[in-house]
Amino acid sequence: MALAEELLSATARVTALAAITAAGLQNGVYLWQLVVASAALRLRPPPPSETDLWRRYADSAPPIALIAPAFNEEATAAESVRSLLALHYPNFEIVVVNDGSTDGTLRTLIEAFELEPVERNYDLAAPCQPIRGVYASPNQPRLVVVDKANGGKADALNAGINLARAPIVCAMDADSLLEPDALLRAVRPFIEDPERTVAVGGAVRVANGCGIADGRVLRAGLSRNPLVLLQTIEYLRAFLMGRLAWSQAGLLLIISGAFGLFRRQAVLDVGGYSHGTVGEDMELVVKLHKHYRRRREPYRVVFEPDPVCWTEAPETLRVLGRQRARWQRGALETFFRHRDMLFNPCYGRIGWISFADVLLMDIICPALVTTGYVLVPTAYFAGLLSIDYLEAFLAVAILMGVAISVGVLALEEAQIRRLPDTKSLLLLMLAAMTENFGYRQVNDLWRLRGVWQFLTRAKGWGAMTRRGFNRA
Amino acid sequence: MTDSLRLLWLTSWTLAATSLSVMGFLIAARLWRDGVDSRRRRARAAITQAYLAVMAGAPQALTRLGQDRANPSLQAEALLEMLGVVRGGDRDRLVEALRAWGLDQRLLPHLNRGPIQNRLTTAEALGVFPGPQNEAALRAVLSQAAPALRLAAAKSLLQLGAPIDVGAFLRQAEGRGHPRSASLAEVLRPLAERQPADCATLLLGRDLPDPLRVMLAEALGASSDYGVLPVLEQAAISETPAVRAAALRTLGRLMHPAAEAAVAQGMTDADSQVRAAAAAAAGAAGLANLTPQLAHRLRDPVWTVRFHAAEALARLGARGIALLRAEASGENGEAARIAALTLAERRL
Repeated sequence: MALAEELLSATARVTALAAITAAGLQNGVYLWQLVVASAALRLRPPPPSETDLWRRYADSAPPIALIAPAFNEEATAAESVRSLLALHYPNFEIVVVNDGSTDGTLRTLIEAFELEPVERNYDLAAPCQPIRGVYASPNQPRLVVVDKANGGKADALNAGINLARAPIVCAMDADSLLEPDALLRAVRPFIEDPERTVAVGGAVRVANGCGIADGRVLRAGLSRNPLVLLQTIEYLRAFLMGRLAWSQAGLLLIISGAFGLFRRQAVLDVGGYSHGTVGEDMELVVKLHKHYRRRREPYRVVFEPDPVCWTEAPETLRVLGRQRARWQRGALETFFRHRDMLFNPCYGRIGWISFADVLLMDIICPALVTTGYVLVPTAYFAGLLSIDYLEAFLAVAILMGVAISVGVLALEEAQIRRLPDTKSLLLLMLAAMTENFGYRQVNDLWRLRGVWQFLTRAKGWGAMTRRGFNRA
Repeated sequence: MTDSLRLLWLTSWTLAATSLSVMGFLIAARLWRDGVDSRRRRARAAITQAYLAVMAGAPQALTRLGQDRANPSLQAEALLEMLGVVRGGDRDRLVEALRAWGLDQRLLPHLNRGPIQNRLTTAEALGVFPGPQNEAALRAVLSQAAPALRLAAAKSLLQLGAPIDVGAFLRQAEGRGHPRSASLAEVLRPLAERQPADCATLLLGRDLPDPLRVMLAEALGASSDYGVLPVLEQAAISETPAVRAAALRTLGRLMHPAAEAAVAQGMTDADSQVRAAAAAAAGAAGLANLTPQLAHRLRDPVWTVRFHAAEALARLGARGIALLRAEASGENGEAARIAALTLAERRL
């Protein structure tokens, strides 16, 4: 009996230590990101005004092709395209790819912009479903609409890239709202370091609660939905902290599919976007790393915090859970597709650090930490663990998380200052503190659901219900 | 073990308390900063109003600016913004009034101190005020480390019509090890216009890296100086494909028939980017004698070359179009497709 108790106690201690270590590692990585991102933002000069940007960069800004995939976007397609046409950039074209919509998306665009069928020379360099037609109008020289058979987002992006003529392509989501100067801000690395830069990601922020009109965010704001507030903190942590830190270290593995610029030839050199994965955005960046590291050519994959794309965040747990599980599934699909990079010296720090981070942060830590939330308190109340273990676990898992969430909000306020007023700051501070008492734990569960979906080979995106943006 | 666990507990509490304290401080600071931002916006508005009044014929409006004079970088910002939209007599009136008021003298010290954004704005603003002192100050910046500042100073010097030693400027940039900005082209283009011989010599020299030679080759297209043709022809057979391609593109832009031989040779180059550049140059320069070579390039294994060859043929008038029509109905699948699409896209 005593032996059994001793064994149980030892098991509980080992489990607790594993959970504490996992939580410590998880938050330790976040802490590292916070320090690196803070240092990076401290050293950066404040972002120039749009007038300054235009004066300094407009003449050397390379042409950009915005690729906007559209599937059943009849209600918003015309407005979205109008807002894209109004972007402030010297030389760009918009390639809208109607990905086999079953509603009136194509008809809406044709009527709204007086489009006619045209012919356009293109090369089928990246694989895509057959293109049924191309439409343009002399009244809208920047707009091309491609109609094709349905093939999914990656397929639509490939079609758009095939038809694009510009040396830089911008991949975006149908519901992305770009700020008017977003392209000019995002293209800066391509101007300042044209020989090495192959991809640039911009910041993605939550549009819920903002004043929006004609496809543009006119007034930054915060949603009153607690779930959206929590996601706002999460997005800050993911982009302002996470992506910036990885970018500074040359280890960025993902550029958001909502808003990313790529050198068109580089994308074609790696075969375009891959089919058969819901993480096509991450998979493309990993292919780029693999390609350039194999060839031992200097290159850069960069995150720029200045250019902003606004996107609608899910407002219900069900839709959010589906989204997060899908993201996790996408990350794992990419990880296993390119698992030969893990700890492979051929791929340098990408293999040793970035890929190891995916293994740690997306698989091992969520599993151990979630186990810890169940087993550590249970073991304590069963008398198998001393209070020290419980306190240490809760401190590392929750308190440290509070420190990091509040820290990233402090970083946003100190260096970026996009929050509209003090009230927003206070609301988000409350969200940053409470995020770690339930929300992050549920997130870990969704990650595990994503792991399960990956293991059971689930496919597809699930129904992503969108409510549409509030109007200003 | 207990000690380690206690340490973790303490560390976590310390980090959380620190974050919360910093956040509390920032919230308080927000109130102060809102005031600073508001005052700055009002000062900018006052400066803009004063500038508008000056342009309307009231130069004394500047003397009423009061303590806003103490912020030359704000003045420089407002000036650059105004000059972005104003031309002609209004512009000259404003600049003259500001010069008489001594703005350029007050800007000079800010060229070498303060945040980099302010120094950049100062360097850009000084490009509006001719004078030996301003030129000397900008020239001194050319040897400084920050690439953006050097570029701004170079652009301002060019705006003032002051000469720049192209070779020294480019070598200094290389010596610092900074990435080569595409914005360099904005400096090289006017330099090539004013000093084509210097740029041509550098292009053929060996001491500059190939990316800079590419920029020089492209910049020479702005010179419109046919005297650089022999240099470009030589560059068109350089060892580096990117330099060859750039030289051919520039030969196309210069539209001189003497480039025919170099362009013809480029179309048989082993590198596809060179062949594509040569095909494009043939169309741009109107080299109708090269239609047979262009027709051959419609069968090139690389799509970009086929595309540029087809586009060139479409630009070469009746002869080129007739050739495209013949290819479009021909048996070679790739050539027929590219020819047909080109004709359809251009509605020929």
